Amino acid sequence: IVDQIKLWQLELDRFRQEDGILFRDFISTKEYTAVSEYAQDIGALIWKNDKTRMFFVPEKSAKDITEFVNKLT
Amino acid sequence: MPSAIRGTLIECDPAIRTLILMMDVGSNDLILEELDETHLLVDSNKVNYIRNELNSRLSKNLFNPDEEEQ
Repeated sequence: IVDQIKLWQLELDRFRQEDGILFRDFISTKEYTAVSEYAQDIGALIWKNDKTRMFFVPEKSAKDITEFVNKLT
Repeated sequence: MPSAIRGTLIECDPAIRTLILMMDVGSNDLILEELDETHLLVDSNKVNYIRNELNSRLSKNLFNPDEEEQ
């Protein structure tokens, strides 16, 4: 049982959380690539999935990214 | 124009992720997006609930083998 407790403790230690904003529903791979690369360049990218065209950034970076998107279109 | 969704990114083990998915089955109000095998986007107001629920479900699992032995 002690081993089990240690195991579950490890599992919960691997539970990490971060508040922020998910960007999704990009109309094209081109738009997704441009915006996610911009997020990467400003050091905001926490997580991304190229296949589903989504990425996650801290809330403080969301405004910069939205402005970048508006400039694109 | 992409959409922007506010929430909490959770990074965890696939086993823990499955437990969280099971918690959402009844209420459907925890998970905003299933991101990949180790990430979920959840409602930020529900993160404490999820942690507490995980702790209680994991401790129940620990005690089940004892009950069966008795």
